[in-house]
Amino acid sequence: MKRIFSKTFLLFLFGVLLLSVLFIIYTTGLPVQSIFYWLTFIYWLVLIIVLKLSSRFSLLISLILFAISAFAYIITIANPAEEIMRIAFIGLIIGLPQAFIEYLKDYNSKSSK
Amino acid sequence: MNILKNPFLIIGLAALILVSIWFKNGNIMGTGESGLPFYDFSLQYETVKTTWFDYGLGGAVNVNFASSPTYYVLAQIQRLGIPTFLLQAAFFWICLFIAGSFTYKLTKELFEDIEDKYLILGVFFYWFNPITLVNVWNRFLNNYFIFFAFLPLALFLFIKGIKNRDFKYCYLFILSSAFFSYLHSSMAFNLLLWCLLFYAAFFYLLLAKNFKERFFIIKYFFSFVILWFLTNLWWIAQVFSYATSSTFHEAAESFFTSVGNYSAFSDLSSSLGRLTELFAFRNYNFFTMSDLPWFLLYNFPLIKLLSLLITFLILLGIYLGRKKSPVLFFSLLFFISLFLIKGNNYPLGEIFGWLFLNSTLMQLFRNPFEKFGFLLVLALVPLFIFSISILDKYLKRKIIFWVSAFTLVVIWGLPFWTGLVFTANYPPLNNPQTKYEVIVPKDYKDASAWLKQQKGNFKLVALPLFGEGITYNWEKGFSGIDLTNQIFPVSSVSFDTTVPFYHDIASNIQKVFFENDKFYPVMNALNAKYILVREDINWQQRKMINPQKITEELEKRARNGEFKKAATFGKLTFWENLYYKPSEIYALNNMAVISGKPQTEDLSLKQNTALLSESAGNSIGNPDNFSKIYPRSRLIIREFNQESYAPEYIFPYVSTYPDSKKYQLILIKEKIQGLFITDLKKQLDFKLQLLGKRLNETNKEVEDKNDRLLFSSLDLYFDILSDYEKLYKDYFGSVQSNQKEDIQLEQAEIFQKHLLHLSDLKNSYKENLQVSSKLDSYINNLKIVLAALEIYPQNELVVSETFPLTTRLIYKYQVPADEEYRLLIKDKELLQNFQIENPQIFLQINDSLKTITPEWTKDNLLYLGTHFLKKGENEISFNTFQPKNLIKEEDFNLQSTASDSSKGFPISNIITDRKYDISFDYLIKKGSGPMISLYNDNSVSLGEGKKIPESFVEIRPDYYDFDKKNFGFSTGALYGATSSELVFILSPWKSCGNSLLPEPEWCQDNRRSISFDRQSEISISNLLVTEQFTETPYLEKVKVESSQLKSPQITYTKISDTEYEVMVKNAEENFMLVLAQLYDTGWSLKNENGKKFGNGPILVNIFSNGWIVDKQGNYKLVLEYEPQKRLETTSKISIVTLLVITALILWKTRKAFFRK
Repeated sequence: MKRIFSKTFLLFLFGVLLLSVLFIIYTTGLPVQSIFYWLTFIYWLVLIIVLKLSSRFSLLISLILFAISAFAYIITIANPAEEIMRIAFIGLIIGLPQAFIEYLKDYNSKSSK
Repeated sequence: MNILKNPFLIIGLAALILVSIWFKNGNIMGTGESGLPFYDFSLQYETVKTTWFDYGLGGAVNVNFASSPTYYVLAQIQRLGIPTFLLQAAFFWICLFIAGSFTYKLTKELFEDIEDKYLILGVFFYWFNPITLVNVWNRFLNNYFIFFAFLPLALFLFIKGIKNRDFKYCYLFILSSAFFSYLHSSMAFNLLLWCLLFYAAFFYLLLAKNFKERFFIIKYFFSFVILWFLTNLWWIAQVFSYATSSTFHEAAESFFTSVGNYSAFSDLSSSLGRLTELFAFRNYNFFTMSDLPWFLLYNFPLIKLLSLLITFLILLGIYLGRKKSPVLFFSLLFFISLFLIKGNNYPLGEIFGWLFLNSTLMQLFRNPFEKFGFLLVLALVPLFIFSISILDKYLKRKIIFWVSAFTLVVIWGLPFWTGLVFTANYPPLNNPQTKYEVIVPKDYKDASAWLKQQKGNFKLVALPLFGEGITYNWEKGFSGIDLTNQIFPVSSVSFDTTVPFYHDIASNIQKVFFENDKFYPVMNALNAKYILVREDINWQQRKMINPQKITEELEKRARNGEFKKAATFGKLTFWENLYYKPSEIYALNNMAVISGKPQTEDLSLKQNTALLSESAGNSIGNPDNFSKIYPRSRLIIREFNQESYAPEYIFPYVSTYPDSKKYQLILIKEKIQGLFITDLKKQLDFKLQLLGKRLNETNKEVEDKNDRLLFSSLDLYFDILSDYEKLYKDYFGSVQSNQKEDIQLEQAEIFQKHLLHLSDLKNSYKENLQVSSKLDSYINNLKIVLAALEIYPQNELVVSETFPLTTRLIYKYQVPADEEYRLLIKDKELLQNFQIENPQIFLQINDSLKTITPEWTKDNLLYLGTHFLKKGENEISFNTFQPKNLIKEEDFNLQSTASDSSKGFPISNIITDRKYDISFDYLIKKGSGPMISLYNDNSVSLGEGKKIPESFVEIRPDYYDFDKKNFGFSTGALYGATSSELVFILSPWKSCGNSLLPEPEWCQDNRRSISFDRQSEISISNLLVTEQFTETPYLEKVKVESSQLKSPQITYTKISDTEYEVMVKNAEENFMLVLAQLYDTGWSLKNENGKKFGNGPILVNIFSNGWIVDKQGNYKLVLEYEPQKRLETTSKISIVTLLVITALILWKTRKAFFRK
């Protein structure tokens, strides 16, 4: 439990750092959107690796974000809907290959038995 | 009832019902780039039967060659008397059936325990989903239909072979790819197909349990590749041949720009790559740009919700089935397709953007939605079927099945069951009664029969002519690519397209027809016997000139004995060229070299003279016989217009100066900012802004008298300038030629300000000679860089009171020898629109100034003096001629209280393809600003005398400056027009929104908001409409030595489109043999022993092939297109491979056969 807390704290620090970088970028006119998605991608990836989360986590979050985004899109809140959908997509970018890797590990361990 | 349990019967029946609805009227359908192939397959086959096609002015057949067997078979079936609409219906039925059956089989193969009813639902998903609706059905391209059908079949055979470890499926794939060879006529589809198969092989390779399995998959995949390559070698060889041909290289250089391509790719990505739209299967542009009712159906929130619900179910299915290999197979394919389909849009679109810029192959996917959409749909079908089947199982009810069935079959299927899927948002395709149906009038059959009766290999010129597309006003009309070459048995110059050399002719021929006294020499150079005047077209919609004007011009020429009316068929009239000489192959005795790009009108320059470009002249060692020298380029430098650029655009605001400690951080920030800009134009603009910032910083340094920092800023300026130089060269080299002048002018204006700023700096250091001279060297260095980039001229422009800098035109000529040259302008319309009465004009020739008196020669040329020029590059510059005002100038006031008020001014002397400048002073006294529109005689009519304006500019009131202001803009919106009216429209001041804050929605309703309207009033003065000077002054050698060689008699036999036998009689001297087909290095001239003349043809008469023949006497020559020989060899390899594969299949299936 202590380990998980320390890792979560590290991730929190990483998040603060990420937001600080975004703030600097935003105030200096650098292309904030592009960097935001790249940092989200890296952050998500780090989260998966550090907390050893399975593909279930990414896919489930993506699914929830998709549902929120779809709802926003239907009630014509188009821009936030698109932003949320992009984050959901990042979840798929990580979740699907991860699911495949998990399947391969599982499949190979069964085959070797 | 058992019959209904047969899934293939259900698929076949559903396809039959659809096809019966679509073709119930017994008409063929057609639109878009495919044209009307189902009109006459024999004519269609003629254009692809050999490696050279007689279409337009001829050309090498590229990847389209893959469609040749399909057209051959269909032409044979058509000869049996089967109506073409039935053939088209059968074609559609086959596509639907194959697509449906193999979607079913593919899903069944991977998800064995799913019930048939779900699998059949998958078929409807594959047919009717909105992505396929847009990309396949509404797009209406034959190779798209075939690819749509072939894709599930290919993937099924590939996976089935891997699972069963049986090579039989590889052979079946090869046989079916031969049957569907038409699909190979798109390189993007070939690439997509192999990407899909590679993905499948890679996926199963990762799942392979042992080396034996892995080895089989590798063997299996490479068998696919090798056998496919061998069976398709016949067209692959032709593609390679085309890719290495001069035509391809010229096309790539002239029309293809990676910057333009990337820009289109980015635009499409940002509009079509929105994930919210993609997850609802919507092509945003398609569904939001039409007001047809069935388009609007897809914009209803409920329909969007149902589409998103389907995606939600799919994602849920992925989540639940993520431990099943088929789910993972299609999920990864779905995700990869989605990642690619969104182009370079967020998130992480930079990866695709980088690939696009750095890979030539990726340039094929400029519209990723259109191409990757096929893979996306293929991946979605099995995932959807899997999802609804497990959810139904989980819920123990069939509710999801029935909701899905209703959505797919009824809602998505509605445009298909009604046939409305074959309508578009422009006429005549927006008519739900006629749809894409076409009835070609009988006149075309009569005209074709008449043309066949006229003996010889002649061509047509069809007028009016503009662009690639055409709209015919037939009973059931057509809108798409020009059909003249597809429905007449004679090839014609009837449209303009981006084919090198052909475009040079087609884009100018109408202009030359109107402006040249004699048109027949141009017709003869093209081997054109007739002009076809087509009055059955919607010329307004296509921005063409009124066909009546063509007829009037021909009637005038008929009175001069140049043309005569030969035949009329309904609204088609053929005018015969009375000076026509058969000229497909001919000999010429004289040659004239033209420096710069020869113009179409030069074809009438000299009789019996071959026009050569400078490089062609050099290649035959005849570089001195220059008859015309066109400028290599033109620069424009004009007086700086304060209103064009805001000061902060040129010298952006600076908050941190070099004396600040933070300054180094600012420089780092700028470097990082630059790294994120991928677009070349944006990079260039960014560097320009940095240059401006560095100069802006110098103001403070001068104030502080800090020379060290001043020079440090200027050194940084030159560091950035060196980056700018490289970027500018890349950018300038990559844009279309018609944009280059605007870019040069913009850069010149900005650097004009930079130079002025540096001069001011120098003046402020007058007393300090050391600093002043150092600043002088900076100014000179900047000028050297600008001259090298051709932003500024090499020679300092002379500016004086008598020769002020208004709009200075600088022409750069490459002169072959030290000699005297006459400077001439050919433009018989010049006097109409420009004032050339001034007795003297100033000419700057290199660094010296001359005054000359313009004179008109007897050939209607404006003579601007004789000048001695030195070999090499020379600059000639002068201020543009004073243009005349093309409208009757009048100052006026406009007032509007209750409704719009307007005032129109007819514009006189319009010349169809010129650009015009419009400017005026305006004062908004009260309320709104004016809207300015142009209404041409070829503007699209809305009925009741209303038209759609060609150009629409709105001036809004300023919130700061209420004084009189000047407004100006340039327009090319008069194209094709012969008369036009400039109209000022003033609307009342709409104050509803301002009076009631926040603005209530009903303010948009004019009937309710009218009570809030207040009077508007404007005053307009100094209204000017002037033509831009675009004619090209050229140099002509004063002493021209022309050799008078005697040409021999030429007769020839056309063996095929790719081979001619030429008989030469009485050749006494060397002569030029010309083949009036589009220039292509694949053509070769050989003697009877097969020995070639020269290394290949040289470019003659702008588009033709020419050879110098250095042999006397009587003899036979052979002209042949060499890729045809290669085709004969590669076809044999393909046929043998196909026969071997057929034998192997028979051998493999023999056991099953004998068992039966």
